[in-house]
Amino acid sequence: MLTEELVDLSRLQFAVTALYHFLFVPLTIGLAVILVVMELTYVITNRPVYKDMVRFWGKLFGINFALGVTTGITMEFQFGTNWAYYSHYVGDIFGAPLAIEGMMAFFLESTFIGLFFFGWDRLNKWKHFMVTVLMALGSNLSALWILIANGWMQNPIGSEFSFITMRMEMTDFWAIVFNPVAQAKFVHTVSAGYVTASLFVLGISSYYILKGRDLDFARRSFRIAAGFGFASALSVIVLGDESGYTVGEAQQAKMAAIEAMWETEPAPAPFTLFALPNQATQTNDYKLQIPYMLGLIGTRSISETLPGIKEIKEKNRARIKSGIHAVVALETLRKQRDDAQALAVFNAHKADLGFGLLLKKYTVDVSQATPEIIQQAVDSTIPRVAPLFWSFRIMVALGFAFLLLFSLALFYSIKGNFIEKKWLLRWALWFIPMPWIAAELGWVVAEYGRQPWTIYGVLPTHISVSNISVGNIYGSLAGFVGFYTVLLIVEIYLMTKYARLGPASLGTGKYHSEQTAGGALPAGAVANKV
Amino acid sequence: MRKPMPLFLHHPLAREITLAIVIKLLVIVAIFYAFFDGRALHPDADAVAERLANPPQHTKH
Repeated sequence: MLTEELVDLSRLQFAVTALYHFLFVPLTIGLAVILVVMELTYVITNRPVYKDMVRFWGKLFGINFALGVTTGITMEFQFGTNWAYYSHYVGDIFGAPLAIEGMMAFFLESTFIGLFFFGWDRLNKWKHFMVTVLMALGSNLSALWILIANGWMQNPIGSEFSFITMRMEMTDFWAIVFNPVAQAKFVHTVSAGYVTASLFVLGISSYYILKGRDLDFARRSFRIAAGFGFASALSVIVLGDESGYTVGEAQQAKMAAIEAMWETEPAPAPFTLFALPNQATQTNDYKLQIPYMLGLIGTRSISETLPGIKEIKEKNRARIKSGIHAVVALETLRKQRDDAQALAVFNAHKADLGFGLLLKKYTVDVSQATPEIIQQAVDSTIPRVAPLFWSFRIMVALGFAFLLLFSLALFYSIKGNFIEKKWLLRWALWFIPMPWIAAELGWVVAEYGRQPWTIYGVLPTHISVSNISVGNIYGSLAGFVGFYTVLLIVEIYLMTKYARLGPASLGTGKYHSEQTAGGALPAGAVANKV
Repeated sequence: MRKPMPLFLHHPLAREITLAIVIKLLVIVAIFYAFFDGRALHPDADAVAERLANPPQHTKH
């Protein structure tokens, strides 16, 4: 028996493993590029402090990579174990970018990470710099292919359903690669990674400055992080706006839910800054709005309207009714493939097949669906509004806070007096976790907002899940949560340990604790060899 | 005669990273093996069609 508990637990298991995996990803993506900037400065200036910077921040990059690698595998395994029907239905398309990511990007990244760490004594500085560039390229390409796969889940173009194979089949590979949703998500996500890494470097450098140690090293790291972070924070906002625009085009229900926009407003629609969304009454109990702003952001015009939730529901009702014909015709075609009349009906309604399948949650025979059942299916097409509304706003508020922080950090870097701005240094230090919170909330908006679909408008979530027992998911979920908690503790412990040690962990004899301890090397044998 | 260790494992950091990755993979595989082995589905077109035609009905717990 398929229960809502089984679907919810499968979703929870995927969400937990994905959110955990994404604790490592943004730092890897961003820090790799910052290492490129630092190493380029080193090869141009030939000043050893920049080499120390690459080696020290590279060490933290290595800890993050070593602990993060393999956590993505659990997600790929789950497509087979928890989402077997999903895998059959869309595997031909969804599997391709995942395979390319593994073969092309991850292998590239992993190979050059090895050369990055162990190639210092074997490669000249230009060759080592090229290794760092290829490592950064690999990690960013990895994000590209994963987001092409994810972008197709949000906007399934370049493909068609076949009633013979009962799966989606690729019709245009390049349409999938250049899917505007995927491309907008890619640039927004990697920019978020750059912000994460910049704040990581800025915050830890601030810690050294506040402690009055390793000042030359910290000052230079701070300046690079401030400049790179400012550009990244600016792009994450601009490209996030572009990502929002593509969502408005491809996923109107998600956009309306994010904005808690129950009614279609006259163009240009106002942006709701604050509201208390009430799903039961389909109203906002309280709201504070900025006139015209949403219309301008969401449509790039002053005359186009954005549909509200109630209007979208009525469109979806029509699609569900059309989808009933598609489902009935599909069932006929499975029994008799040459039934010309069924084929004609199916072809006329197959764009709405997914909407017809939504009814399968409530009845076996969709042709007998009552108005009440259809209403249930219509209501299910809108994700819960409050979690999306608030997740999005907290993410955006944090995005602007990052921009302000990096603007000030860059301004005082140019003025040359940031060392005196203790409040700025403390702000940078205590803000280190915030980009992770923003990034995780971004994924909540993207994936929770995709419900009730695994493939938007094509495949409902409740049909995608495997017929497995709830007990198995409870057991594996407990296993993953326990194991991942241990890994996270190790990650935080190692990161904190080496961040506190600072560049002294390189064992060059030039830095803080080495000088105070009379040249003793405190970082241990392993750290000294990196 | 004892086989020599691969060259990259001579480096202590490489040993630690390799060990960490192997342990992680083993734990992940063990979890999947314990809870999903023998329960995996191999849905073909007919199985998917049958599921769409006659899905197990959802119940609330």
